[in-house]
Amino acid sequence: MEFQYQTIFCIVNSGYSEQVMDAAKKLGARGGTILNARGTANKNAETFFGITIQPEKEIVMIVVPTAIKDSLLHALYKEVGLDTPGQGIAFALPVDSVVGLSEEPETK
Amino acid sequence: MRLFKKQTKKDTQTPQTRPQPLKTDFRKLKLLVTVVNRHKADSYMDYLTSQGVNFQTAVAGKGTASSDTLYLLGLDESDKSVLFSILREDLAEGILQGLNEKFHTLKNGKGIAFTIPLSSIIGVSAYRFLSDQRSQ
Repeated sequence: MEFQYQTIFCIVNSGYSEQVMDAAKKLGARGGTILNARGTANKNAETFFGITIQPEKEIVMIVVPTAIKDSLLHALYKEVGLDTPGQGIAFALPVDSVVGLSEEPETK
Repeated sequence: MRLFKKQTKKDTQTPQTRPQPLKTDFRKLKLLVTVVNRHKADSYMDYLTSQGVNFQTAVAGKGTASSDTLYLLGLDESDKSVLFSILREDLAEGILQGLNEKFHTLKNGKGIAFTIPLSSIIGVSAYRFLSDQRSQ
């Protein structure tokens, strides 16, 4: 079964959701939703790697056509990947059906 | 007497054992994600409950403004509620259509809804609850 749309979930440190949306809009996404969340990374990881893991996170949820999913994931990896201050993780889930998307022309 | 007893046992057994696998109808579940304006969230939750959705969670979220001018004027409403609900596969299409109608007709009721297939779930009672088959 082929899915027309995918939802991209991107979990980043608090304050980096704008970078996520900038990357997404550059690739043609029209909007997203931001949720506030708290990470529960292992305390040992913090001391072992010598980096601070900020517990405050933002989850950005974006519905995109399957065609731009891969390029968006790559862009997010570059802009807010784990080795950037955003320390983000992004993944995509398949969407079977969707209603309420505004059908605007792609060029903007 | 014995025969009679045996017969009744069989009679009571068959209706008990047979309908069970029929009644618990194992259909796949889906996760429904609905993003709406925060002050309209209650009405959407009521609608979903009325459609046989037993489990839902509302999370406060923020929409990313799509129009910069509207954003500067403060005309766009960016406070959103994200509703996560779990429903049976066969209900999904009807509920999405119902939501779509509300998105178009309700004032300030615009939103987006989509479903994601679930791959696994554990617990028969949890499954029955989520798939609205508790009455058994």
